[in-house]
Amino acid sequence: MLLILSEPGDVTVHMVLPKLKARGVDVLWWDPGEYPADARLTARFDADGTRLTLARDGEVADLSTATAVWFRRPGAPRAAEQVTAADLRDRVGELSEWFLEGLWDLLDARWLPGREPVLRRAHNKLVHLALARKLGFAVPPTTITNDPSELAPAYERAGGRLIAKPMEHTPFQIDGEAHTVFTTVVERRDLVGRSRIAHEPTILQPYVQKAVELRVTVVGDQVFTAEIASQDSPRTRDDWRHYDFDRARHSVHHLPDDVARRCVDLVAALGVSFGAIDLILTPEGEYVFLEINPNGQWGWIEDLTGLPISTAIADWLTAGETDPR
Amino acid sequence: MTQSSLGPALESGVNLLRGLTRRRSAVAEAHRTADEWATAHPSLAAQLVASPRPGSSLVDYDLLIEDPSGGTIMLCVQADDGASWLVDHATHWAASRLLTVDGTPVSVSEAMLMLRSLTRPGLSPQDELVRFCLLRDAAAKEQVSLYDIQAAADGFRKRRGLTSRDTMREWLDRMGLSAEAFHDHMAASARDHRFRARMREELGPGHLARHPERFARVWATWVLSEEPIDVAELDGSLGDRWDLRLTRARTWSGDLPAPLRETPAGGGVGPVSHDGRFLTGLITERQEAVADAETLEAAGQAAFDQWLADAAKRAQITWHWL
Repeated sequence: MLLILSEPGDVTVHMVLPKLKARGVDVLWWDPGEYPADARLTARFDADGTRLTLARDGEVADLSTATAVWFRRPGAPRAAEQVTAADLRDRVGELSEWFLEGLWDLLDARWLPGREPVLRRAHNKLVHLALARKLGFAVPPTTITNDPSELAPAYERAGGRLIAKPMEHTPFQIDGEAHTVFTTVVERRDLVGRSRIAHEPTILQPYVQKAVELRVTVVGDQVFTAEIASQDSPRTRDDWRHYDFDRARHSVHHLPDDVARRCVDLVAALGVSFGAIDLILTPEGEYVFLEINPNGQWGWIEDLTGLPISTAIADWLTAGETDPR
Repeated sequence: MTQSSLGPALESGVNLLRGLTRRRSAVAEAHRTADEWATAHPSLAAQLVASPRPGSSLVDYDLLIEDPSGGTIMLCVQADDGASWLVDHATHWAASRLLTVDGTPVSVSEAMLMLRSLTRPGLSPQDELVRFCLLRDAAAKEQVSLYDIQAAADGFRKRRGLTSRDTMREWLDRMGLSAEAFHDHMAASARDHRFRARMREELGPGHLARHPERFARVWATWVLSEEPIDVAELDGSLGDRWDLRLTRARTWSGDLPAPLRETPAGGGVGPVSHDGRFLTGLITERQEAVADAETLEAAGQAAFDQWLADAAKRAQITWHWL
C-alpha cells in the first residue's frame, strides 16, 4: 500500500494519483489534519508484533503495510470542535504531533521526499548552502547574520548590488494584512535600517546577474530542469516567485551532465529522495546555486513545460512494490 | 542659519522624522507637520520627501535642509520599532493583483493584457475583466493547433494594422512583450475562440427550442422620438421631423425593442413610451423561427451570452484595490 499524506484537494496529488492507480497499487490518501478530531489512530505492541491502525469513515487501514509514504502537504493535527479552551486545543495539537512523529518513525517504508526531521534539516539554508559548496556548486558569497554592523560591509563587498532574503518563509501580518518577504535588492538608502537586522537572521548575498533562472526538480536520480525567463518581466527580475506567466516563460532546459550529477548528489547527501533546486544561469554561462526546497512545488512546472515529473514520482513511489528496500 | 545653530536644527529635524507615521494613509498629515516645522525654521528651507514603497503600505521619509556651509543635508531616521529589516521590506500579499475571480488571481499585468482585448459596449471595464477571467479559466482545457494560434495572431495583427514585421516588433517593444509572450497570448485567444464556438454549438439548439419567440426573422421599421409619431407617418412621410432615430432592419424578434417583439406581420405599435422617449414601429414581414444554420448561430450566441452573464453573477469576485 502507498500512503499519501496531504490535505484533501491537493491538486499535485491529483496529478500523480491516476498514474498510481494505472499501476494497480493500493493507495491511501489521508490528511493528518483530520487527527484526532475525525480519525482514530492506534498503535498496539504485543507478542505478535506492532500494529498501527487508522480508522476513519468506518474503514480501518493497517498503516504498517505501507511500502512507501509520500509526505506531501499534510495538515496540522486538529482538535475536535468540542475542545474549545485554547490551552486544551494547544495540548491536543502538541500531543498529537508527538504521536504522529513516533508513528511515522515506525513505518518501515520508503519516504518521498523524506521523514520530517530529515526534511527540516535539508530545508535549512545553512545546511544546504554549506553542502552545496562542498559538492562543488558555485554559491554566491553569503553572509547570514543578525549583526547590524555586517550590512554596510556586505553592501560594499557586493559593489552596491546586494540582496537580502529570509532563512525561511513564515506567515506574518502588517496592519492586519498578510505580507510576504521576497528576495529584496538592498538600495543604498535601505542601509539606514541596519539596526533592524538585529531582529532576525538575514541572508545577504551579492546580486547575481541572470540570463535565466532554473528550477531543477530531482526525483530519486532523475533530473527535470525548467528554464524561467525571469528577466523578461520587471516583476520577476529579482525573484521569480512574483510570478508573471505571460512574460516570464517556462521551457525545458538541458543541464550540463556535471551540474545535473551535482543536483542528484546534493539531494542524496541531504538524505531526501526529492528536491526542488533553484539555480541561476549567468550571462557568462555559469550555473550558480541558490537554494533547495526538499518538498517544493512542481505541478506548475509540469503544466507549463510538459516535463514528466508526476510520472517519475509515481515510478519512485511504486518501485518499492516490487524492489526490495 | 549659522554653523552653531546646525546642531539644534539637526536634533529638531530628527525628532520631526521620528514622530511621522510611516503609512501611505498618513503622508498628507506628515507633509502638514513638516510644513509647520519648516515655517518654524525658515532659514533651513526644509522640504519633506515621502517615498511610498511599492507593494507595501510603508513610506520612507527624508528631510532636506540647507547646509550653512553651502549645499544640502538629507536626514533620514529609522526608529527601532521591532520589525526586522526583511519584515520592513515585506510585500503585501495582493500587491501585484488587481482582482481574484473564483479563487484565481489576476495580476495587474494580466489585466493590462486583457484590457487590450476588451471590446463589448455596455459593460464596464470591471465587468469585462471579470468575464474575461471566467472565460480564460473555462477555456483553459481547450486544445488548439498551431494553425489556430496563427489564425488568432493574423486576426489580431490585421485589426491593429500591425501588418509588417517592423510595426509588429515596434508594438511588442511598446507593450513590453516578448515574441514568446505574444504567442502565449494568442494561444489563449485561440482557446477562447474555440471555447466560444463549442459552447455556441452545444447551447444553441436547446436555447432555440426554449425561446422560439426570440428568433423569428422580422423586417421592421421603428422610430424613437421626443414627440409622439403616428404609425401612419412611417410610410415615408416623416417630412421635416429630424428629432428622431429611425431604424429599418431585418433582425431577430428578440433583438427588437420590447413593445415590438410579438407584433405580427403588417402590425404597428405606438406611439408608446419607451426608454424615456416615444416608440412607433411597424412589422413588415415576420417568419417564425426555424432551426436553420443562421438561426442556430444566433441562438447559440444568445445562449452563450446568457451563460457568461450567469457565471459572472455567481462568481466570487474580490477587487483588491478598488
